[in-house]
This record gives sequence, C-alpha cells and structure tokens, in this order.
Amino acid sequence: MAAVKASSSNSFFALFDLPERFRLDAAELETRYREKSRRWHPDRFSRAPASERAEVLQRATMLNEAYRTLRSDGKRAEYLLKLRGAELGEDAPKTALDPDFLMQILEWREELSDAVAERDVAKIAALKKIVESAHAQLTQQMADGFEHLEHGDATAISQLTTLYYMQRYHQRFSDEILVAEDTTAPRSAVL
Amino acid sequence: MSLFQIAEPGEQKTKSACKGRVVGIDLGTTNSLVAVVRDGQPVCLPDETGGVLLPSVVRYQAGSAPVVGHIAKKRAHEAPHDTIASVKRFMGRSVADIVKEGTASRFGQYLFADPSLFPDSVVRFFVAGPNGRRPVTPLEVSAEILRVLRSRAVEALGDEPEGAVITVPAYFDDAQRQATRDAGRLAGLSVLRLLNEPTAAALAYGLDQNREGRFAVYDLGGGTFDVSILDLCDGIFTVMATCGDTALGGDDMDAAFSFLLLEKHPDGKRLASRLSEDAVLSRRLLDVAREAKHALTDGEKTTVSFEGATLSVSREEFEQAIQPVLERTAAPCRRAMKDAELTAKDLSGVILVGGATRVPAVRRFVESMFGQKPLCELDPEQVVALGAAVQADILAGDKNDALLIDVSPLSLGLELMGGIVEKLIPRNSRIPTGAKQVFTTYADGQTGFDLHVVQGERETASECRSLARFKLTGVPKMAAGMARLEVMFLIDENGLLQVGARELTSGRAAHIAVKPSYGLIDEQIEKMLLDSFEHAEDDLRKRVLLEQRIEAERILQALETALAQDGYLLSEEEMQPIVEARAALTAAKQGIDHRLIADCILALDVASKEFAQRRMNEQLNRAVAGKSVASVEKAVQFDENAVPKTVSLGE
Repeated sequence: MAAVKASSSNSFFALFDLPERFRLDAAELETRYREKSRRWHPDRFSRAPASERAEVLQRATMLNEAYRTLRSDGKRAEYLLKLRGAELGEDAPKTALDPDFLMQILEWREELSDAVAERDVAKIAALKKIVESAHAQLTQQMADGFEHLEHGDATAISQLTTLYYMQRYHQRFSDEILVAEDTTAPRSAVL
Repeated sequence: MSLFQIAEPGEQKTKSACKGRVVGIDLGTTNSLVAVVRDGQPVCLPDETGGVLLPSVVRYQAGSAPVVGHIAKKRAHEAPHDTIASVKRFMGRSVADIVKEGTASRFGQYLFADPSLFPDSVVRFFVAGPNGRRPVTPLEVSAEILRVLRSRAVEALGDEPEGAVITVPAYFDDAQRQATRDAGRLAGLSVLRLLNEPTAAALAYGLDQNREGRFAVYDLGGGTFDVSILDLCDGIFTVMATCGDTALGGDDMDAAFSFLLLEKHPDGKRLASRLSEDAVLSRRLLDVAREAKHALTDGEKTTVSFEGATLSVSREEFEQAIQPVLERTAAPCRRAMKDAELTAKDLSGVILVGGATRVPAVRRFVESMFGQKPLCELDPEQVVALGAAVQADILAGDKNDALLIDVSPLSLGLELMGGIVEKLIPRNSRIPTGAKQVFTTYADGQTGFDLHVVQGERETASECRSLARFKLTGVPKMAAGMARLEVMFLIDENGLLQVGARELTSGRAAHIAVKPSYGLIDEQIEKMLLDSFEHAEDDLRKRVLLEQRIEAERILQALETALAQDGYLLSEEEMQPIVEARAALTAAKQGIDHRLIADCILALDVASKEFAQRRMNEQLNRAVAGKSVASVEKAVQFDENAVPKTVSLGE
C-alpha cells in the first residue's frame, strides 16, 4: 500500500469530501456521514470473513472518529491547528493567557460552587447563560481567525492557538455546570 | 453478508441461504422471547400453549435436568434456593458488586458458592445437582433459558437457526455484554450481534410504522432501566444518546409495594424481621405484591391475603409506594436529553418498553416528564424481541436499506498514576469507535507495561467499573523514554472492547495479555462448551459439523463470484495459494471432522486476505473516482500493523 502523504489531502475533511476550513455546515456533515456509514458500517459485512470484517471495522471507526472531531467546534479547531503545524501541548499553553480571562474563570468557578452549596438552580442557569454567550463570542472570534488563516495570513496561528486554549477553559467549565445541574436538579423535572 | 460481496448501496444482493433462519431474542430479567421475521413482519414465536413469554426462571433439581419457564416460576416457593429468577441482575457481576448493590438480598434467596474456591470473582449460585450442591454461573443459567428459546425456534423454523441477535440493556457494560454473548454460545447459538434493547424497540416501531423523527424510548424492564434518544431518518436509525441504571426496574416497584403491604399487616413488624431468613415467606410476599399490582393496573382497589390477614389496598396507595422508584428514572432521562442536545418539544414520540410500563402511574409519569402521551401500539413486552428479529433480518441481508448506528453508553478511560482516570472515549460516542494513546517507558530496558481500563463517568478509577487489566509485553529493550508504545482501544459494533498495541520506533506489535476484571477466561467457557457437548440430549457435534459445512459452502461460493468478478487483480503466482486453500476446504467439506473444516476456512481466509484487501481498495477507488484517492487512504492505513486482540472471551 502506498505511504500516506504528509499533505492534508487525506484529512478528516477529505473523508467527507468537505472543504478544509473551520466554518462547517453541520447538516451537510451529517448527510455525508450517513452516506459513508451506509457503505462502511460493520453490519453491512456481518457475514464476511474475519479479515474483511477487521478492515471494515477500522474504516468505520475512522469514520466515526472523523465525525466526532469535525462536529465539535473545539475539536475541529484543534484538528485544523495541528494540520497547520501549530504545536498544541497536552495541558497548558506555551504562552500565558490573559490574566483577566483567567480571573474571570476563577470568579465563575467560585460563583458556581456557591450556587451548588445553596442549591440555587436559578443562579446556575444564569451562570450557564453567561458562559454560553461568552463561548459563542469566542467561537465567532475563532471563525474569523481561521478565515484570515485560510486567506494566507499565517500570523493568525498564534492568536488562534490562544483562542483555542481559552475555549478549552470554557469547555471544562461548561462540563462543571452540567455536573452542577445534575446534582441540584429536582427529582422529577419536566424535560 | 458474505465473503467478498461488496454491494453498492441499493444494489440487489443475492439472496443468502440463511433467509428466514435468523432469530431475534429478548433475554429479559422477567421474561424472555424469541421472534422471527415472516413475510416481512416480525412475529414472536409461541410455546405449545400459545403464549410467547418464557419466564426467565430456572429451577435446578437433584435428579434431572433443569426446568425453565412457567413451571419453574409457579413452583418457585417450593425451592427458593434452587430457583433462579432475575439471573440477568447477576450477569457479568462480581461477588463484590452484588454485595455493594444489595442485589443478592433484594432479588432472591440464593445460596452462593464460596468465592475463595475460584480463581475469578464471578458470582456462582450454589444449586441442587446430581451429587449434592454444585456451583453454576449466571452465564450458565442464562444459557438454559436460551436453549429453550432455541428449541422453540427449531420447532417453528424446521431447522436450527443460523444466527441470533440477542438484546441487552443499552446501559450494560462490557462484562455484562460478554457474559450475554457467551451464554448464547453456550446455548449453541451463533450470536450475530448484541443489540441494545431500546434501539430494538425503536427498530420495531420505525420499520413497522414508517415513521421519521426523533424518539425517546423509555424502557422500564424487570431489572433494568434505560432511556435512549433516537433519530429515524431515511432508514438510518441513529442513537443520539442513551442513559440508564442497570439496577433499577419493575422488581424495585414490587419490592417497594411489598413493604407497603407489610406495613398494613397487623403482624407486619414480626414478619419483616423474619424476611431475611425465611426465603419461602419473602418469595410469597413478592408474589402477592405482584398479583396486587396487576389487579391495580385496571382496578381502583384490591384485597390480598397474606399470613392470615386480608389486606385492602387502593391504587393511590400503590402509586405512592412506587413514586420513589419512578423518580429515580428522571435523572437518566434528563442526562440523555442533554447529551442529545434536545428538549422535550423536539421529540416526535415517546416509546414505552417493558412490562412495568403497563402500570398507569408509569405512563402518567412519562407523559408529564416528556409533555406528550407515550406511544404504545406495540405490546411493550414484545417490542424488543420484534425489533431484534428485524435487526437479525437486516443482518441476514434481506433489508438492505435499513441501518442502525448505535453509541457506547459509558465513557472508556485509563487509570493513570494516582488513580485518576483519563477519558479516552466519551460516553455516547457512535460505534465502532476507537482511541489511540502513546506510552513511553520510564526505566532503561523496560519491556512491559501494566494498564487498567475502566468504564464510567467518575474521576477516579476506584469509582468507575474495572473492565480489564492488560499486561503489555515484548517491548524492545531501549533506554528509558525511548520506546514509544501505541495502544489502540476499539469499541466494536456490539459495544465490546478490543485492544491492539505496537511499538512505534520498531513497528513491532506488542503482545497483550488480558485479564478481564469480571468474567470468565476463555478456557472456562471452552470447558463449559465441551461439558454441554457431552451431556446434551441432541447431538451437538453433528450440528456443529452441519454449520461448518454451510459456512464452507457459503465461503466457497462467494470466492467463486469474487474470482469471476475481480480475478484479474491477482497474478497467477498470487492465485496459487488461494486455489490450494480452496481445494483443501472443498475436500474437508466432504469429511466429518468439523475442526478440520474450520481450520481450512481459516486458512482460506488468510490466503485470500490480500485479495480481499485489493478488492476493497478497488471498490473504494471506484467509489471515489475523480476524487482524491489519498483522502481515503488514511482509513486504510489506520493502524494496519496492530492486529486488535479481542479482550472478549468469545470466538
């Protein structure tokens, strides 16, 4: 089998015949995903011999991984940045984030833990709204940054890397809100 | 569906020999059923009295074979220690689990074999046997139930079923799934697929009614609760989220209700204190509670007689007693809706599954939670089996357009230093799915690693469910930090874990020794299979031979077609081993040695692996003609060197 070229033409985007950019039509991704799954789902090969099934399993797994990556704004940004050669460490960014931003996160955390202690459902919901809007803003900034990058402005990478790490802080905080909601929710709520 | 036959979507596939000979099985906590698709419609197969439910109750006896079903259930109070009901609660659980969850005390009066006598932590009931008491695993008990269903299918189909789809609660973890699949094998069934119960229910509704949209499936069975959110569109069923509780069900309602009955009983306090020791009494109390529950499904009031007193109980009192059980179902519903990113108004329907959903209070609770009347055209006790039959039919190749994309219910993680869990695959990921992780050595010349894989949502390994411990060996000796070991975790379409590993700098596949944390090792299953072969009434060997011959025939035919179509992809030299392996299989097929046939099938499979790969690539190239070929190559390249080793005990 030919070696995989280091170019990005074999990216997750290409797997779905989608253009390699941050802006993404979620409905289009879903449609492409379905088309590909119809073909490569292991159930289509349930009576095939083991070797063929193993192949198909790998492909279907790849397909799902690609879908999962592209569907999420954060994961898609990370993936694109890596494709563009950005070095993303596992945890902390190489350059420090804006102290004001970190301060904000700390404040939110404190508010959340107070709200949980007081079982203040309304306060948690309000906090969630604030984070969601801040997150939407960040996503917009990322989309703009990627637009610059896609038009050949390589300097956008460092700004995007920073935005990516900020986005991760938001993500982690959103997860904490979900847990808080679970622990404080009334036992029989209307969905 | 068959070797080398890669059909274009929508292309008519050749009818396979197994048409109509595959079955769907609902192996339930309370009742089990078997269904087939006949003339395009799924139907449950009845027993000789015309009923379709087989109570999942197995009675062991000293002098004869175990009795399964209605008789065992009816006479349960005679021998509570030897009558196993709710065996599903014990599947894939360790002794420590059932102690922690209180399963043993709440759901039976069983005796257990001394766990210190066995190398694993699998629960073993201690039941009547030919020479005094003997230990049996939940897996073996389930296999007894499956055997009865299998013979019911043989009766209806006129021959052995060629494959079976068995349903499991969506929230079953890996160990519970493994145990279910192994029980199927032990019962002599070829398990095509494990299917999540709520998905099965939606399948039955979707295909039956030609519906589209988003659906919630609320499945309150005897022993488990599941809720799934599904999207039905263009014949593709996508599970958006699933959530549940493996230790919550109709049995809990019965238990809660029986406490109410005791409270009303003039001698209740004394009776309550006797319950833990008096197995017969406690079983009778549950029976009485269950009868009263049924009476209150339609009636407003009922009276029951228990231990010399006549108790009157109203539906309202019953509903109050079970309210806490209902409320426990709310949190999983909320989580599933959140994971699916939906609110109740996005749903086109709510499907009810499980006998417990017949209770009017349950229906009202569901209606108030989801803000709409639940659907219940199909019998909630049959709908899962019907859906399983539909899926079996799809797998057998009769319904090409339908496809089911499921998710893994629990996050998969790895224990790191300090007991912290690193999540590798988040819950509700579409399956099959995988994750890769690169490890490095911390000592010079280190040749192995220990890994601990867990399932669950908690932060620390001790709070999650231990899945398996791996020992990776055969890492080439290098300086510390030099060896780079890539471990690949893969959850297949059955929700079962596979693991592969290779050393990146040398490209060598590392060896993995797996010790399942719960469950039996392969050799134990083999032994059970052998035992059952020796003791079974019908000649299983003959059946296995027949199966192998059918399999051989199918593969030979498929190869013929493949060679006719794409033989040009091979040079004469490359063709040689395939031709030889084919001849060997053709010869073995005439003989009576089923092992030889199996070996030859495997040999042919190996010999034609390259051919299969080329054909698939050829197909792929045709499919993407005009597009970037490299774009699909990555999929092919994906870890081709690391052959995944199944952690499972199966196959």
